[in-house]
Amino acid sequence: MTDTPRQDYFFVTEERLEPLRYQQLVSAPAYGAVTSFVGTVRSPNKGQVVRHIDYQGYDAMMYTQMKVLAGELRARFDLGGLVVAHRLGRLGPGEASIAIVVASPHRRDSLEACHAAIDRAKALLPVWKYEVTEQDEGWVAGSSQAAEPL
Amino acid sequence: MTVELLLFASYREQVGQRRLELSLPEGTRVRDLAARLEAEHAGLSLRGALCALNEHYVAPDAALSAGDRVAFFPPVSGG
Repeated sequence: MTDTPRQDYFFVTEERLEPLRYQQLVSAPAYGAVTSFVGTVRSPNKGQVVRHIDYQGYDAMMYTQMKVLAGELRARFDLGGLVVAHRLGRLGPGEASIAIVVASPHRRDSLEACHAAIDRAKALLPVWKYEVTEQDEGWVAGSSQAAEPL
Repeated sequence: MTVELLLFASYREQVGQRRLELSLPEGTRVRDLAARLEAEHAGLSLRGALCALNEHYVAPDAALSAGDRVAFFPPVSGG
């Protein structure tokens, strides 16, 4: 391992996400800026108390699309290490469902790349949420940005 | 030719299967496969579905080849 790892790390897991460990993976002296985004299960959501969300994913394609995402980011920004991690399975309110960590020599690329990464992750990653609230339950409406739909 | 079809979320529930192997004529496109699945499963509508071919997004007019892994799924809601 050199001290300037421009490496991608992708995780799809049913275990609890570990944002602090991901920060350590990409931290190196050459990268003066490390930005993290952690998305969590929100409750109340649209006025309803959420009991849990079941996350279903197409895990092989999630990894493929994480690679696509990383390629897009590296073409636009000067980056060191990059982590994209998504949790699947049943999550309760406040639990982390997605974590993105981006290292860069400077803060602007790090901040902007992290923002772009979460937006693209939401469009590209094949994941579906089944939300159970105290009132009702159902699949959460999603995004069709990634391709022309049927 | 034979292709593998994967279904997710509400489509998986409606069809009652997560994976099917299908024998298709040469030249079949993604939208033809969707029409066949709808014809075989009363009440199933794939209108608005996203399509993937070997883990990459494709448009409905993409042509299928033997051994391809096709996936139909609703708009995605990760994060």
